Amino acid sequence: MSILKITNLHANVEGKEILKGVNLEISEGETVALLGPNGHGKSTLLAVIMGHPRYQVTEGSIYFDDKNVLEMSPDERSKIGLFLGMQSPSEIPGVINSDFLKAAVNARREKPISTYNFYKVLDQATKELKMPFDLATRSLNEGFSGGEKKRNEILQLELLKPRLAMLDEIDSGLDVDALQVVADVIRKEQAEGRGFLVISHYARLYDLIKPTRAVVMINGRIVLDGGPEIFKRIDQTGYEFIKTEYGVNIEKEDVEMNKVSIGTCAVKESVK
Amino acid sequence: MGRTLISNIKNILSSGEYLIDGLLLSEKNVDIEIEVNSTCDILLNNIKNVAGLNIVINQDSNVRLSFIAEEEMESSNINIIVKNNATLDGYFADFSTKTLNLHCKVNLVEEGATCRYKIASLVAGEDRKTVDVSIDHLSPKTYGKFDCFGICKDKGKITVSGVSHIFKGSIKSKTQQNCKIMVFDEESDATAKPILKIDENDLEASHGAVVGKINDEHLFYLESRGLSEEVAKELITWGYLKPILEGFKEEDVKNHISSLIERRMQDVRR
Repeated sequence: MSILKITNLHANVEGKEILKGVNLEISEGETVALLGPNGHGKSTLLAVIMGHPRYQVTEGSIYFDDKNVLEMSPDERSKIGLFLGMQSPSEIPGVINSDFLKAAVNARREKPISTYNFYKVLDQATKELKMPFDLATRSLNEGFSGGEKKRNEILQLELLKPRLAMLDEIDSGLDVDALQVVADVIRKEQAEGRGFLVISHYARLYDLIKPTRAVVMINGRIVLDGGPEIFKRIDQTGYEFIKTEYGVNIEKEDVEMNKVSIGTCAVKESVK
Repeated sequence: MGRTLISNIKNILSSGEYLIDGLLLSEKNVDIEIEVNSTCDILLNNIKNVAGLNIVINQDSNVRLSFIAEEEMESSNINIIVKNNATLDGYFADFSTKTLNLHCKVNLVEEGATCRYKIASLVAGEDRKTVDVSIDHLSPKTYGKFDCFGICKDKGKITVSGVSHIFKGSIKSKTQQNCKIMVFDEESDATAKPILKIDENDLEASHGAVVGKINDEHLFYLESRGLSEEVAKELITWGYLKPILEGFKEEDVKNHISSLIERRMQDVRR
């Protein structure tokens, strides 16, 4: 039985259509590899599922169990069991990591967790991830290395225990040892029945967490859905076979010129 | 050890920790002179107004001036003279609720004089606040730094200004102004006007001001972990204003400021 069901999903960013009719179902406890060339909508799909306000859904539906996800705010989506491990986690000055984590844990509990129990859980999770405990007492992601940010995402995954965790290039910025540590935690969570939808460009992560399924996203649609042999083949030969064998023409990523000129370089839209 | 209460109009202080009488300060001009080579920690708490506070910091002395603007605070007029190799660290935690006019003028009159002045201000509802912190560099190798962090929400209005003036002859001086105000909604109004006046060549000077809305990516990140928009904004507000606590020594005073922030945020929500 599917826990996530996406039907004919279309989404825009700033008037440009990125998702052009995505259909995807994921079952409870399943680990799915989401593959595709750069700029074809993988990260957008995960952000839209999580409710990023930058994207406008113009058509289609997303259901989690029988709940209409598109009618929910991001915090409601989180509380029903969705999680997004981000490619570039935000650095938020002044917001202490542990304060944030405790607030996030309490957001899904009727009775707030005691400080003692919270620190016990946090201490254990940071040890599993081989994270220095002082990362928990620093500003959220501020001054963290790329690898530390990614471990911090996995730390949140461990504490929040989602039913479906979406991981967007969680392996970028991780060295070999750190990748192993993160993969160990993902495997532990898999064993506890958590589902995963994982974007990565490298077979190394997939070799470690062993997805049961792979889907390929091209031109804003899922064009291929099959077993783990797909990511092995893509890792060896690239995406060319999809054109030759499945007749899907891979549109090139539009790279727009930077619109910022000298006259506007000092303008910020928000306060960092 | 408690603080020594300052209850006279004219005072000469040696090293120690002091608390200024609020009633005296609201009615009279109070003069304080810090003796040479002293370290003083002066707290202004439970004060409605500052009619005039004049401080002279003599050679090689270090002064921390920590100031809490309570809910009743309306105006404040502070003038400080910093002499040879002396240092002022000023901390102003503003959680007042009315029309506040804060004026602070620091004169770095002798070589090596230093002033670091930090303000955190929460502006909401009917609040109308004007903050002016100006630093004059009147001698060589003086250092001035002014940081202001503000939250402006629910129709609040704030104007932050300040002139850092490096006078002729104040070579190798350094001055910095940094003002960030986060505006939560379209009906709130924040203005930042950091101004540099430079009459010398051999120096370092910088100023920056950012007035902008809350970062959407930050908000989304917190919300995606299950925090409601309201709680996420509170966490960001708290993180933004909290660094001012470093300027206050006693734990009970830190707790008092924390409760002021929380109370003000709750008042606005009602």
